[in-house]
Amino acid sequence: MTTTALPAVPALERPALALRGAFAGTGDLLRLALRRDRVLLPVQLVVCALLFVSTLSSVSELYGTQEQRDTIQGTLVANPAFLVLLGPYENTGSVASTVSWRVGIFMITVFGVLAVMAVVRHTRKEEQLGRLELVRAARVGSLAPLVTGLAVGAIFAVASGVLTAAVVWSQGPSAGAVALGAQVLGVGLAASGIAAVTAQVASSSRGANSLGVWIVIGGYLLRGGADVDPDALGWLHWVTPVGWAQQIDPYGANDYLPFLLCVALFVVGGLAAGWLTLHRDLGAGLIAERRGPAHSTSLTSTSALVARLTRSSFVIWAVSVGVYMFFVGYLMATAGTMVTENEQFAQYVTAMGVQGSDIAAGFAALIMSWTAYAGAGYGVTVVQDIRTEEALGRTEATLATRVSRTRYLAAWLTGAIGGAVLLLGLAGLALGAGNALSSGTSWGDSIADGLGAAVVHVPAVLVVIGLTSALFGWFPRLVGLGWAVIAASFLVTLLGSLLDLPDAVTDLSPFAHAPAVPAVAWSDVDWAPLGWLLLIAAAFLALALAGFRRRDVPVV
Amino acid sequence: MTVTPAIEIQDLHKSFGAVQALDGLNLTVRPGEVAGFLGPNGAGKSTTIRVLLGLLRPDAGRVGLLGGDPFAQAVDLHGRLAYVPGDVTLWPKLTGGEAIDLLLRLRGVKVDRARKERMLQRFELDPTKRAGTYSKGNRQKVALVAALSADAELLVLDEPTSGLDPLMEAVFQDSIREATAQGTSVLLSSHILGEVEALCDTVTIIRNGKDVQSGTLAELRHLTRSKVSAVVTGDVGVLESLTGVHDLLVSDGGGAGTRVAFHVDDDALPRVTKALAGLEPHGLTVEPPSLEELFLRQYGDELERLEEAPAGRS
Repeated sequence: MTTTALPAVPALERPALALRGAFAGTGDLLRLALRRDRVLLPVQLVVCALLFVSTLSSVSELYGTQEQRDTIQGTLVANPAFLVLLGPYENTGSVASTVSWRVGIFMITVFGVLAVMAVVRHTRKEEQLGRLELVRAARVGSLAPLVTGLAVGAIFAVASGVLTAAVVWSQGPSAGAVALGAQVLGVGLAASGIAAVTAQVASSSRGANSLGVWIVIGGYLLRGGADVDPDALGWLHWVTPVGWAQQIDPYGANDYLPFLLCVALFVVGGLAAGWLTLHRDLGAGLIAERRGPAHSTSLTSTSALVARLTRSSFVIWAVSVGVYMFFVGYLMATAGTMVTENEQFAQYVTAMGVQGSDIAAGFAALIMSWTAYAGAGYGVTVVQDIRTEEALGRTEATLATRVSRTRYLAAWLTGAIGGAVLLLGLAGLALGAGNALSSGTSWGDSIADGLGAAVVHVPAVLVVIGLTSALFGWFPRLVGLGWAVIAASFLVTLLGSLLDLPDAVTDLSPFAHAPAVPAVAWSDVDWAPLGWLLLIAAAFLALALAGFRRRDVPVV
Repeated sequence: MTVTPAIEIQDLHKSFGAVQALDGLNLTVRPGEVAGFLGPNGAGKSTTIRVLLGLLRPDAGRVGLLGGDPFAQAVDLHGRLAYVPGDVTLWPKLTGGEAIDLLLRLRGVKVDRARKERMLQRFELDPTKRAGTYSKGNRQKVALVAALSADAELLVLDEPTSGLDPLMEAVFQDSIREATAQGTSVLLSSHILGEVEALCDTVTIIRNGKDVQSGTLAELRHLTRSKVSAVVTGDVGVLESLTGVHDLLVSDGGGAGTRVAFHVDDDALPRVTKALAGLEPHGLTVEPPSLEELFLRQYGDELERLEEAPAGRS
């Protein structure tokens, strides 16, 4: 053998992991990433900032004076439900500090989740889709994609922190505003560090996202436990980024030591992810893909396929909505008692949009109206799934068999509508069950009320799903507009009272027509708008089928 | 007796906005026939197949599939055919085995485990892996196994072997021959001319949405020139004067005489062989044109244009 001419390669030693060149191409990748996110990230930031703005406006209306704030604090100080959801209300000094309590912890969790998704989008998702292979074959270093992902996460964290601080700063300069911004920034950075690692550990972007998101949300839940029982569970504040951020205590201690912990997690996560990247193969993760069955007896029809494809995401939606509504149900009775004892709180609840004299019922109706958006959102994601199936050629493969277009689309739309209705039903059940547990109301009445509050939103949800389906039937490239309809409806409702928009505008939202059951008695419900919504939804669905039956497949 | 063709397309037109994808295409596949469908990327092969499957609506022209209307009777007709797309995408969360079973059931076919198992072994496919982890070749195998694991009257294959290795290519060809032995008709769109030459009874070459040539391979070969070479003695001038002889090359035959090589029109072949006989030829070879030559002849001008195009910045 004549191998002598070849340069010797050390047999058992891995090639030295030279860092030189490992970052090559980062600048180009980062520009590409920001270009691809140029709509998504600003939209996320603006929607979150608007939530702060609207909270600011309602808080300054209700808790404008120190006396008002002290009263509400006296009522809430020992209420476990509020402690879990919002944390303790300790800094009553100003409107801004109250905003920080009212939405602060919830919003930093949301920002953390969005940061996780941003990092995974530019790392594991690219890798899973095979695009990274093409990119890495160019003059691009092994760490460049990871650094790009971390940079996008960090940029998002900085932007959200600055924006949050700026909104609150508008109430007057304060150290608290800076600390609130630091909370948002800190969790964003920490979540980016976590996501960098989960993107190495899981071999699919879905897996990396769920792992990262659950760590962030887990932090929110654990600190809730710590707030209820600080003596026994206080240490739970110190185990996750959301807990650390809470310890920054804006408008109180303004302590930046926990912020440094968040930054440290960003750095450590980044370094660990870098080490993992250098020590693994492209495309591989630490959690290997499992093998599956070689045969199937259950996949016998398009409906069975749709059920299988939508199953896991439905479970995630159902668990999230169910747990949330159970909590709300559990809170309902407390909200009712608090209102009778405290006029201040009654005003607060009314300003939130609660209708009717029975505050607990009004509270339930209000929260359930938010769940309607979740139901519609789920339906839109399923219709978007159909579009993805078409764009990837899988619709073509299915329609080349004995499956008619009508049956194909009907199976998918049944999945979208059935899933959304089921989601609302679950929300109603969870609300009723939570309420029955805490208030001692009979289970039957409680669950009937919960289901009633949910079912009145079905027509609006069907209209949104129908409209999105009609887009799919005629203009499949535009199905994404379904989200625009939901966002616009949400904004109209959110800003309607803020800007005193005329009814003609707010009525454009399909969600604006549901009666506030159970605060409104069934006998007082005006059925006409609901009937109209159902008719409109049916027309949209018929239109969707008609369009899909006659158009070309695939439209690319 | 008139037999209903498996596929009959007459003067088919289809445009997407300003792009004319099909511009008067004709294509016929008789029962039991393997028809090759050739053309470069973008010539309109996949569009034709999608029209045949009732996925696209033709703008004009007549299309018959197994004696029916592919758009109006799509569902019933699809029960009688199997389709393998050129770029197979599968449901990432399903295993290969599940996807095969699903595709068979959607065709309305009962899954024959033994036959499926045989096909899986033949194509060396592991059905327990998630489709998301398959390579392009393995995804292609999933579609092939699904198509071949049940009988069909017609196989519609759109570049079915892209991404397969040469061993699998041979397995594929055997499987198609098995199917045609049962009377299955096949429409095979392909880039791999060797595969078409090995399998097909007839060939249609498509260019810019139009069929520019079609017939049996033998018929097509008649339309073009054969390559002749021989070592002869005597005056080769007689060859030069014959009509139908082109590109005559004369060289020293190394003591045995004069080496001649030329192309000849098919209809001139009788005259040319007579003339050659008078020149006492040795080592005579007459090569019919390969499919590749036939194909390149149809696209000769395009090839020239492409080769003349600047090769990019340097």
